[in-house]
Amino acid sequence: MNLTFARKYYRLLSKTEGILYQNPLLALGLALPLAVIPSFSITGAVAISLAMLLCFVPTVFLASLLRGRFSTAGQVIVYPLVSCLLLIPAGKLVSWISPLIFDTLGVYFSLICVNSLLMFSVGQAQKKTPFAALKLALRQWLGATLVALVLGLIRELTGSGSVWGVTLLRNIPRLPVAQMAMGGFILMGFFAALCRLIHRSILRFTIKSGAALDAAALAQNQENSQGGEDR
Amino acid sequence: MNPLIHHAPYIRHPESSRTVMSDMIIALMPLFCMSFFYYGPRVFLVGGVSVLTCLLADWMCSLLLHQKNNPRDLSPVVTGLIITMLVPPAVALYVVVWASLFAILVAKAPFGGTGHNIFNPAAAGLAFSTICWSGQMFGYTSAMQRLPMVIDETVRFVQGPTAALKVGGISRIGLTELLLGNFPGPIGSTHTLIIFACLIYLVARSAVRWYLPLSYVAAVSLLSACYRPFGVTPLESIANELFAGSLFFVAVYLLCDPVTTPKYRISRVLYGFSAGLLTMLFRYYSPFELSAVFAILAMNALAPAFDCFCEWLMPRLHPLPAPAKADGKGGARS
Amino acid sequence: MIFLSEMFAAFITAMMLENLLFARAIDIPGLYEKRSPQQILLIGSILTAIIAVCSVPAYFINTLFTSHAAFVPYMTLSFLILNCLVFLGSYFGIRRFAPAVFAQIGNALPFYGVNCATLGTLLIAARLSTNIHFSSFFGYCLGSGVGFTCAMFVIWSMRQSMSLSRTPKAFRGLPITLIYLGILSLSLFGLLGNQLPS
Repeated sequence: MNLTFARKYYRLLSKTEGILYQNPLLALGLALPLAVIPSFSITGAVAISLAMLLCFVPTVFLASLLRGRFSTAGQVIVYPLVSCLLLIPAGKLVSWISPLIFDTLGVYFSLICVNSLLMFSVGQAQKKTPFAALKLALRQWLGATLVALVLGLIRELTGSGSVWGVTLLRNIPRLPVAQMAMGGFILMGFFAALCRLIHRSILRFTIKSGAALDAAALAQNQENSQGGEDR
Repeated sequence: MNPLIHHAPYIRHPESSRTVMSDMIIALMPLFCMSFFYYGPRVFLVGGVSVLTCLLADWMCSLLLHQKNNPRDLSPVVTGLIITMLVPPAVALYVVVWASLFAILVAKAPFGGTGHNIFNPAAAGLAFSTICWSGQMFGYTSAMQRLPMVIDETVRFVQGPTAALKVGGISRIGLTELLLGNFPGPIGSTHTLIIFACLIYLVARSAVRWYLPLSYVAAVSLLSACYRPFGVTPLESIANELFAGSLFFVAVYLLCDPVTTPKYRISRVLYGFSAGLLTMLFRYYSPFELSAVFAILAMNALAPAFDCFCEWLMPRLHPLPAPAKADGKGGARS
Repeated sequence: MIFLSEMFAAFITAMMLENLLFARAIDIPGLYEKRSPQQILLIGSILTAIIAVCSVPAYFINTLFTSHAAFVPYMTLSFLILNCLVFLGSYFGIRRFAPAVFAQIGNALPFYGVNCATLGTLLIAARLSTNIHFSSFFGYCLGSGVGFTCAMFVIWSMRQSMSLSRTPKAFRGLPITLIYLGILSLSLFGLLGNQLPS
């Protein structure tokens, strides 16, 4: 194994935990309703991400400030209520994106306050300091946002040939399935598989390059020892 | 037998996946011939595009998964042919390509490839195309209309008899026409007599179990006889439901896929009957004319549940005899 | 009779056509964990019971809120408070009267009581119609819980079959589960048609 490369790679993974590594959507399967349905277009993905930023991050930060005060049953009641209260100003911010955004998002906007990512992060925040919990919340929000934006872009392009309502692809057959629930599920599944494949490929490259380096170092050592014997 | 020349396994079953798939291909060829008689050489173009796409997609997946491509694996060919049989003859080629790609890349390869898929790939591909391009998938042409290789304005599109069934009516097509497939419909799924002959061949070759399509047809017949339009006899209703669309084709070629059906006889019978009931439910309430493929997909997901039910039921129907009591004296008897 | 038929129609619609998981992609925390059929039945029963009990006051809250337009933005908050109260009642009830069940699932019970499925069902039922009858509202809520339980059984059934197959390593676990859900959703859309759920 090429230890230098492996160390650099794992350092990158630990710095991007929640974004590239242990992504809450692709690796942990959390916040499924927010990734599959609202990300049918870039508009929906941006709206949900903004709302999550206002509801999810402060709630997780608050959970770390109040860590240990509530049992699991209490956490499940208090923090969704806090998140729901934060949803009211978030709604006003999101309505600037598009006047019809709430019609398209439907109940999924309201489900931000009880989504599984919030419950998971609140549980993780119990064991962290406030600063660490804030970093965790921001990373997970960023990871979920990245995935939602990529999905939204692909689905809107393939489903309606447009990005943010601006038509880009005119004469190419559309796939309306991409903007339905099944398209979201299938695309997310392939995206998760692709990320896993990339991770495994990098690890395999690390091992192979390390094996190649080891073989070269061994050959060099043998040459040196033979040269020493000749003298 | 000289073990130096012959390799294990030494006990071989005469049936293999290759023989089953080749039987299916042989059973689909007469439908191609009949379709060529009705619609001209375009059916070969559609079939060729479909089969080629499936083969290329399968080869690509083998390459990506670092698996050795098996040229004796004929399952992509069968998938391509079944997709061809269920699309209209004047369908745009990109619809067929997308259906084939979806069938292999989404419904088959991620689950492990041949023999490991949970869903019937052809049914998944057709369902995908139906939802994406329902106008294309239900734009039929009259039988005996020789179609040009490239569809142009001279081609006249008509509605099939399934459109009348969808709105609760019934088409007045005679029984002979229904059996011969001499009405607007998909390429190869309307030639009932030929499908029936192919069914006999497949049952004789043990590629298909006779009770599976029979239970399916029984359920469809029961519901169509009970819920028939006003003024229609039960037999007429059954004939129209079974033969005017693709139901009979689905019963023979899609339902009896050996990979996706349950493993026990009782569970297969229950599976077939439930598939028939679900197909009629989809037929009555679905907005699409070709709704049998959706029912097949839903039943594929429930196939393991039928096996589990059978495994739970069998010990209760045939309990094992209680073990003999030990006499307590121990040791061998003299 | 009309009450029962309306309730049954809404029940079937919620259970099959507008299944929470397959048609609307609404899940609960820990959906992809390995469970036995008995555990799935227990979790599903608790979920369905909580949704069914919530639906009764939720119907009257919905009637009150829809008659005053200014209250509509606060419907989510009121439904959430109602959900939390019913969950608290069920939590302490199970702890008191079914200690064996509580010992089995007590740690995860909060996540089955307040989640996207419970709140989402109430919100969706409230949006079905402006003058919905109680029978349809209750039938829809009941059907959603039962449908979600059936969806969990389907995932269990998928695990049984996938454990015997040779899934590629990149697809094992969550990716293949999502693709499976997508294809099942495809089959359900054969009944729904080209409709985006609200």
